[in-house]
Amino acid sequence: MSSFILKRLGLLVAVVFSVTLLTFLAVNLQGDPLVTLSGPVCETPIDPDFVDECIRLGEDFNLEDPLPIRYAKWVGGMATGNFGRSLVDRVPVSTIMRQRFPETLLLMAMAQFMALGIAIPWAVKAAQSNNGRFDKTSTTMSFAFIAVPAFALGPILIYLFVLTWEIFPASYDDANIGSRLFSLFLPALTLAFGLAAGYQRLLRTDLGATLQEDFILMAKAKGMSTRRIMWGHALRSSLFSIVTVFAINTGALVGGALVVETIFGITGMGGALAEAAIREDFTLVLAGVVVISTGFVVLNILADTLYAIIDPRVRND
Amino acid sequence: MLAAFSLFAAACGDSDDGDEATGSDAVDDGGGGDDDTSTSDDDTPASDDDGDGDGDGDGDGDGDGTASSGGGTDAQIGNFTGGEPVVGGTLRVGVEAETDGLNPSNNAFAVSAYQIGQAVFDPLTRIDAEGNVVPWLAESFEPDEDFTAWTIKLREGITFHDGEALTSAAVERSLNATLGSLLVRWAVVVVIDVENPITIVDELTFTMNLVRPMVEFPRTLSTQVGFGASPAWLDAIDADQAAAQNPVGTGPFMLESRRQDDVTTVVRNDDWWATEVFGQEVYLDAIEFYPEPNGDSRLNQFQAGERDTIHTTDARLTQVLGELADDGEAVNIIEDTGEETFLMINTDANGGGEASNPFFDVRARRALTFATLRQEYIDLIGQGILVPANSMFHPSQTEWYNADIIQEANDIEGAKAEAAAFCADEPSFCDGDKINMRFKYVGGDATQDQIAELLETGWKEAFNVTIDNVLQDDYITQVATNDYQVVTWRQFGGADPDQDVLWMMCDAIQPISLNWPRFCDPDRDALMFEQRASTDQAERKPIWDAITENVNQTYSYVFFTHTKWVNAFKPNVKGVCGEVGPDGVEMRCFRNGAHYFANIWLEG
Repeated sequence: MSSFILKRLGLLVAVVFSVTLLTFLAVNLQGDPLVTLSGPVCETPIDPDFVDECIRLGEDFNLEDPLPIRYAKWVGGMATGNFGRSLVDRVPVSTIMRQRFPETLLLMAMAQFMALGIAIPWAVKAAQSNNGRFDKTSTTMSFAFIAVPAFALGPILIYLFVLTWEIFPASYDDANIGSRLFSLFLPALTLAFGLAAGYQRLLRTDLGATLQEDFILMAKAKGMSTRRIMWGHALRSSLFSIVTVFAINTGALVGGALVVETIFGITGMGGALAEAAIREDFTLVLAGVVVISTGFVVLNILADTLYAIIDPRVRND
Repeated sequence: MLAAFSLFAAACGDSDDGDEATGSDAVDDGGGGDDDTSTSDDDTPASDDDGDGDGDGDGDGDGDGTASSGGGTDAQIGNFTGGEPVVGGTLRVGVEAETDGLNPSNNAFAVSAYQIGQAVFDPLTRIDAEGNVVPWLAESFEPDEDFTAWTIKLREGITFHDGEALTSAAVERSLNATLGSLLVRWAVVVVIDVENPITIVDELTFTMNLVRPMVEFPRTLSTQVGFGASPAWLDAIDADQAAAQNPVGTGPFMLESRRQDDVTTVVRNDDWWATEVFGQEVYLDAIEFYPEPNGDSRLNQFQAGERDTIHTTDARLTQVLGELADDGEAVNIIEDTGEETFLMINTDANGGGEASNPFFDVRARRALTFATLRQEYIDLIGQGILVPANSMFHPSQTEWYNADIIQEANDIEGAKAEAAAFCADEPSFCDGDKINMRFKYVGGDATQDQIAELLETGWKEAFNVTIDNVLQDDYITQVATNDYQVVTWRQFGGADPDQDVLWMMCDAIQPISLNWPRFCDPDRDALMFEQRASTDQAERKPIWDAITENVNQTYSYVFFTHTKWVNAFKPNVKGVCGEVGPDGVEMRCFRNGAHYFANIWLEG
């Protein structure tokens, strides 16, 4: 097990290194960070006063160093949690992340929890129905959920639950944990619909295959109830695909859900990173890349670990 | 001056309802759409059926229990009176964008920054409800005999929120910080004598020295240029630029906390100097500013009761707010005598690339003007609600408006003739009889795409049009650095037209040019400086007639519409207007979407 963890940690480092290096090169080669910092004045300095200012700005952000040195300094800072300062408003990137990341994490967790909570019973019921009316209706519904984009679903939910029935608030409220969960319910549900439909499709398919296995036939022969067969045996064997996709989706959501954040006025990572990319605020972009790539790798490590828990054969391998 | 700084804020990402930039940065407001968005005590609808642009039939914007704004704006104000002021409560303000910083010396203030800034800072002067400039932090301001130097005396005993005293040295510190800033200085250096900007007379008296006579200079001091910023805070910013997020002024409210893109909270300054000097109390305990660039989200929050006030120029939102006002769920301030939207044409031959811009020639500019489907644009965007603009003056601004100025457009045959004449002499700029041109606009918005398509439809009769859609930040930068030929833009609207001279004067053409079209006309400059040195309105009016005629005939702008700002308030928000100043005079309560807070209270 320890060699498994060590290998995965090595993978984490390699992925983060290569992704950040590529991003670092991309943001530095396509735009001039000094212009992002100072505007166009530093492109054509007018008098010695501004030349000095432009040089000072360059020194403050290590822009005078060659790219490899600049990257090395950035990596060194990153290792100690110092991602530098935003080029646009000079606020420490770690401060921005600290303000934004918890909201994104909470939204992600709620969305995934809801999605699984919807998808699993739904898939089990559909598999039980097996080409029956419920199963066929489920197929249609799941495709419908997948097809409805968040930017369409979100306003509909707002119109119904916020403006018409006045059940939920229109914006995020972080007064306490209860208000956070309550105000994130609709945004999480907006995300969860599409996720749940995807999970339902995958799980339904895997359950269908699992239910053809001999051990299921054996269980039926032993007189086990359908409920016990489905939830105690078939489901566990059918979770591999959903675990994989769950990990991938969670990794993606770590970087925020821009559309949902915009519709519901949530100040999460999605909006921050989108704006940073547009405004060439490359320190924030790099920090976001670190967060997202780390999230992906860690979650996939957890997924691999979960496989071993689900299926002892994987553990022994 | 206000607009000068707001352009840079947009370059830093300010947005207006996701459709276009605020202040002077660019883009269109995405259409008009309200037929009546004001209410008054007698619930008289205020449709613009008399064509004077103010919607109330008589040009002064009044209704029962209301007050006019004066000061060159044409606002219709609902009922903010009623009852005795109530101390307490938190006002929740939805603003259209976040601001990159709140340092008036270095960060360009667009409307959202002004909302916060007007709570935390006081300016040296302010505008009263009649449009007159009155001393505010200043006790007095006096010009020399030729208006090239202004001696300003500060009020005694005013302190910043950090306890530092407001003195001449503090003002000097602020001004020097502005002159030393990389961007904001460009708006100031054309006014202030940079060799000798300020002379300290005594602890509370100083003289500001100008490059040329300027009668309306005190009006400039009502903008961010005149905001009193604590020297200790400016020093902290020099040490750590992140400190620009934590403003320290002298205003009725003090910063409590700020989380960018989330909420900025200010709390009552119980020691506000104006309470003792003017008798103006501060009623609110706190104000929370929530930046929300998405207009629909902002409206939803307002409707759901999570915001007490929002603002917008979006036509669709304006219409909804009007319906809310009709239902008694909102009280709206409408202002449409501020900025104008227009097509802006770069006259620099190197605009957009060396020797590639055909619009150095007036024939090419005339061709573009004639080929512009202006009426169709007005129909599409204005929807019969926005007032068409023929010049930088709204029809209700009778003290400046020149009814003889008509914006030409919608003349395709005329455009073709002009293009043919130009191409005969300058074939390198043409393919056949059509002139090659580039048009830029802010991408990512369906309305802007529609506008570009519409304009191209007319232009292609005389032009080979290449269209670039650009990110908003880049848009401003490219225009400022001469990297464009034709753009859509929004600007002007100074309370006094002298404030708009900056956009048209030759001196403003620098590597970063605030004379965006880069059109230099010494004769026009002479007119502008002549009116700047005059104290006589009767003398200035004909000069401005000549200036607007000059602008019309130089074909560097094609005016479309007058922008309409709507500030909506919940009915329990009182005292939006009615703040008193020197000698009990009522102060102007808002400017281009931003308002003041000292007199506001929450009823019930």
